[in-house]
Amino acid sequence: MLISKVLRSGCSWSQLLYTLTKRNASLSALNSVSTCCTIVQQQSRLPYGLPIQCMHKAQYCLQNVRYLASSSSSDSNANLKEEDTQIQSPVGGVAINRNRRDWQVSFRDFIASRQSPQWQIEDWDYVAEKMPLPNGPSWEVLCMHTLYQDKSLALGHSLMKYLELKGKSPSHITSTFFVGLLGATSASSDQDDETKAFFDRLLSQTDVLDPASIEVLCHGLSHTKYYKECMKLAQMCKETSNVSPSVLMNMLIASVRFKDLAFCESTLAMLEEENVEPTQMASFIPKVIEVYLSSSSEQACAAVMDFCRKHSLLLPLRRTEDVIDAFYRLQPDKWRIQASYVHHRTGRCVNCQHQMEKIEVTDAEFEALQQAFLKQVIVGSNIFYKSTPEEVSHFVKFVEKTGPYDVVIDGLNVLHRQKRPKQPDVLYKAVRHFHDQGKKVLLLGTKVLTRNISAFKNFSPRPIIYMTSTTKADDSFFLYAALQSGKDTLIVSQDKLRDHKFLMDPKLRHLFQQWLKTVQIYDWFYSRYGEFTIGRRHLHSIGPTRDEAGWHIPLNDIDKDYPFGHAKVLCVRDVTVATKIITKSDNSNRRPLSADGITNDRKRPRINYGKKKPANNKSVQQPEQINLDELMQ
Amino acid sequence: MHLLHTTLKHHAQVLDHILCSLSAARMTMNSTAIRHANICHRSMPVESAEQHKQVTVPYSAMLGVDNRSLYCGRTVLRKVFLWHKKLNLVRHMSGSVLSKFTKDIDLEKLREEAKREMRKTGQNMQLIDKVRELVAQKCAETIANYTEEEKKKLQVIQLEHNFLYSEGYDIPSPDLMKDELWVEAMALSSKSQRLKYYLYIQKKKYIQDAEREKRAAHKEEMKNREKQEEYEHGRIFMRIYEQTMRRWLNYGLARAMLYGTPLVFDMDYVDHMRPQEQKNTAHQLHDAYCLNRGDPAEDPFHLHFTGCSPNNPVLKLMQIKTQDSPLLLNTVTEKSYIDLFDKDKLVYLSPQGRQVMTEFDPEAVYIIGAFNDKVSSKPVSYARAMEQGIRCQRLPIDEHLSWNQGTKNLTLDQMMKIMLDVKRKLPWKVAFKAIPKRKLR
Repeated sequence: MLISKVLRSGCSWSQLLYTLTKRNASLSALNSVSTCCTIVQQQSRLPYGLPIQCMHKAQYCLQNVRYLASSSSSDSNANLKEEDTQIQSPVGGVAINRNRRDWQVSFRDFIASRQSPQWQIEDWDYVAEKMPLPNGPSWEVLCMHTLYQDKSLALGHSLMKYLELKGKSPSHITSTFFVGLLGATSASSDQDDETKAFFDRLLSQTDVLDPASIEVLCHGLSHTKYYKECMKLAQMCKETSNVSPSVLMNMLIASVRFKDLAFCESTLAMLEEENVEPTQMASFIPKVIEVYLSSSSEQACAAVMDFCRKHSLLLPLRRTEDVIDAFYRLQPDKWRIQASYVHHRTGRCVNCQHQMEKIEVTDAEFEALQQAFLKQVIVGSNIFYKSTPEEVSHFVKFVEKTGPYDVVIDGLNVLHRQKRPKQPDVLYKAVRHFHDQGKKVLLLGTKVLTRNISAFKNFSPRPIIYMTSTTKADDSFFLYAALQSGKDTLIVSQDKLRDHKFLMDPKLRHLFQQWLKTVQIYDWFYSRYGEFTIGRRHLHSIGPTRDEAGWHIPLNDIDKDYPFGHAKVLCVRDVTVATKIITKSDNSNRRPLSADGITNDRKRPRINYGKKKPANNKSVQQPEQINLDELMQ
Repeated sequence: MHLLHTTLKHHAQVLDHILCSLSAARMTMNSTAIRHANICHRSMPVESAEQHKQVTVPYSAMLGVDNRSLYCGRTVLRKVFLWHKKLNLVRHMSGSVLSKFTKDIDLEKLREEAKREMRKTGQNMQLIDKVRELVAQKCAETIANYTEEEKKKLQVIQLEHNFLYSEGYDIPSPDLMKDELWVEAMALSSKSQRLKYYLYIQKKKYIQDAEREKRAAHKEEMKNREKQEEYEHGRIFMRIYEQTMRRWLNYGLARAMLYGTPLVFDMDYVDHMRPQEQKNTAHQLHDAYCLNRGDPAEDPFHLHFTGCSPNNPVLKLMQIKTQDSPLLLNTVTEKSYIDLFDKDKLVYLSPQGRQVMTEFDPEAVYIIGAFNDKVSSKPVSYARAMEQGIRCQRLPIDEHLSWNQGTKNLTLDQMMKIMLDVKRKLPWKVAFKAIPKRKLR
């Protein structure tokens, strides 16, 4: 009951579970954890899809509890075992051989049946004789792989010793796993040296390493101070095949761990060079943050986050809990995390009023886009996929003659992307809106538009209209027209235009996306009087940013109904720094920010909607708070 | 054109002759008649066909006369067995190896060899085995001829496979990996791709093993079953043998080659397809062919495979697939459809077409692209039609059906069913029953 009350108050799930397991290292924790699990199961209507995450957390905690309980009572252990297996069963890998999995289970049971972690020779003898896998790899490889997975270092050492005793030299695969095991569990520099020694021995044995074992080696070495070997391994891998993303991610995490900015930059360069699709990286953000928090390496982490911002990578919603958990767990009592969003007009985080940067495309970058577009997108591999050569050349001449434009409207998109009941004169309204502002409008569409253009007779000057022969070409044509007209030409379309993005050269893709963010109008509505009105435009970057008082991490809240997202961010505030600022501003009306005031904070109308212009910012550190308070009075 | 018609007419005459003699043979069960038919078949004007660069493999098709007994019981079983063998070949071998190494195989010669060997050793030796042997041999050759760099890559890949195997993935063990699998793995560029490929092979192997077991069990059951009297006489229905059926259907096809409506399959898409897709196309093409042959209205199309060089991998795969009952009774030519037909009459059927095909125009020559695209959905056929200035139409799917999901690209056999129905003036609703239900709402 108590737990459910705590949960209702808005406390983080993972935080709760973690404290439960950590602090109450006794059997009484069992009951509380199990009740907690049931609550998690019951409350499935929580935001951010938390319950699934929590199930994993609960599983993790249960393992902890099981470990603690195993020393005292066997009954509760048996009870928990059942629960544990129930949760674990769907997690197992699909692609693993069934015999193999059974063997691993029996081996783990065997390990559990031995009391002491110091194995004798007889134990290994027993494993070697009684537990072979028919048609499988040899027993030491099997053992070492299982030990590598379980990260049990003592047994790994003992196995290597046993092999030495028997006069067997460990095979290439066994030693690879052993290096991985040594590295992954490494905590002291002695062990780092030992890992390196084994790694060197492995290198002296064979001259070629395959990509799969390189992955394991990199995983091991990236935990040690010899992480720079990974780069050599990646180069070796590159000779025969593509470098796998996991190797690169391990290198990136190692660079954050050891605060090596140069290594981080070279890895990021390699990422771009290898044409690894950056969107794959989004799921690694929590891991990077976790390592950053435990090692507190600002620069390398900032480099990674810059990379994320450049490619506008967003944190997947289902990984949110991991990030929150990492912040609370690794640096407790330092952070306060809240879900927030960046206001579309002011570009400030509504929670902490941090001003985000504006997205900008430089002239050189824009020119590169301009030059590449016609060749890469419209013509592509075959011009007939979209259009015909005659049509393209005609349109190019047309743009030369009539351009440049101020606004380019995707006619078909405006016409068809409207809520029911559909209005017939939306095109007229849209063009009217921009025409009244004295802007030069290009309306692009297919022949379908002929029905609607009679309304433009009375306009002077008349809007420029172009109709393509097929629906295939119109998107790329209006993009071309906008690009040719200049950097400030607006695009009116609700299309995400991703297909065009991916037709571009990988190096230009992020530029294209950023340019679109600056010029595209995707949110519009018709007011009560039927006027075309522009809604929100997010002109500020929401990407991961660091400021004096914490982080902003963007969330991937894009779904079917809101294809452009809400610009939600995770506002991570450093409590120690934040309180300092408040004391500086010495405003007696303000309530101090505290961890329990989360719910109250939301209600406070601190958002600057930009209607009343605040006086220009004077100081650097959150001056807007002062202005706001003045406004309120 | 004229020349083509004359040769066809000549062929048809010979064909009639063969058919007559054959029917005589069957009625009297006279071995001399069969031999006579065989001789006729061999004296067929194959050269004349080759003069016009037509790759025709037709006439042994309709005969189907070999030294198998005409009596059904055992032959049926054997056929089932062979059919499985055939499937196994196509399944077992991966796409790129098949399309790469079967390109320049001389099937006729191989068949002769197989027959000779069978006579000599008395063992059951089929063409499929021969093809498999040849491909394995070629794979071994390519591996032996690798340069130093490639050899190193192969070594790395083998090491990697071994490592993945010891990591416990469900992949074939190193001693089960054959040359052709290595050759296939060499073409893949990253570790994850190769792992997926190995997993795929293993999955296929499991399916194959299960099938084999099932077949063995069935065989056992058939052995233990009490033998029923196979009594043929004294029934009111005369038994129609498969061969008779086949001959009848092939006669329909031969008639269509003379007087039927042409339907073009554009085979010039090999460069646009991955090996796997080429394999699928060959399967679908075979299905389409059989559907056309068994047209319920008995008015099949005269199929043209245009832009099809003799070494076209799709055609080769199709021939390998149909070797035990080689059936191709259609025009196969290297020429383009533009050279064969009047340009105004040509209509390209493409899912991206702008015009809608309202009804079947008997005057028009419809073109279907023998093309499969699983990955990219580029309007390749539409672009081709635009480039060549041909009319391009799409089926009136949107007008008659409410589409649920999936692409509107239809497979070749579905297209063939629809075209046959539409040709019979059946309504579109009936014709569109060929479209799988999962795609509809």
